[in-house]
Amino acid sequence: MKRFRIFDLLFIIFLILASLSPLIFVNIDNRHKRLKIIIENSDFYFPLTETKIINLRKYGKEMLVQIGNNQAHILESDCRNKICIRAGWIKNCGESAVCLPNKVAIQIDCEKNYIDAYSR
Amino acid sequence: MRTQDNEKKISLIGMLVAFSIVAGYLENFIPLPVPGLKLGIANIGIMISLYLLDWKSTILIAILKSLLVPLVTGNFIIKLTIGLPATLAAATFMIIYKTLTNKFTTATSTGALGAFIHINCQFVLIKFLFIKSLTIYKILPYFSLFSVIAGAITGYLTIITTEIILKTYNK
Repeated sequence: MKRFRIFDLLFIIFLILASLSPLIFVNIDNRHKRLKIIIENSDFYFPLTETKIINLRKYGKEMLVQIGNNQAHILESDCRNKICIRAGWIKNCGESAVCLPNKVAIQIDCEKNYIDAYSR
Repeated sequence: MRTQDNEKKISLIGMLVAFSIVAGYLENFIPLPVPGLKLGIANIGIMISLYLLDWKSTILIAILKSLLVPLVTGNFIIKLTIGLPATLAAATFMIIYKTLTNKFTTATSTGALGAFIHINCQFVLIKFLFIKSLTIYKILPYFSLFSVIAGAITGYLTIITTEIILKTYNK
């Protein structure tokens, strides 16, 4: 039995390309986005269109979340490891930055559009 | 002559299933960078039967392997609901691919295809049964890439093993 043929190589390259193809298509995404801030067990929603800094002190957390240019990030946090700050700007559907010591997470929440438009 | 062939076939099926169970247990101890990934060495049993026996035995070994390996390794229900349909789908695709292109391919690309179908099927099942969020598809490309490489390795190991089996079998 022959151990390797050229068609194998071609097919494996095709499979590798097929498995990497979602990386290209995943960014083309025009659904309605908003920022979801999860603090302990409650969710808060903010529009992503405006530019502002949200202070989480009124929820009892020493953190600042900055929104602007359709993206968001955690600007300041009093936690130890600063992993949430190092997560950087989040902008795609489902991306998130999490602060475990404070029990706070921010996530880009995308609504599913079941209906494009309707008329009567 | 006919019954002798049948006996040889049945004993080979038994040995392949036994090999799959042992390999499926032992590959839990091979450390990999990401938790939850497995090399899929247990699928060598399925692939050997694909190249030495017919498609019926392949389906049989696939069902037996995905029923029996979770019994040994634990977490039975989840592994069964995810693993059994994925293994069957992968086996079906491998059978079709092997029958169509046997003249100009080897087991290497068959294994890669099987692994690709297997991981994608698992992700779809996880999406519908356990984790409803779309976020899990973020890691699919990396898992898929890894599984294609692992499947190619599995296929290459299958070729080597098949040669050894044929050498001892035809003595």
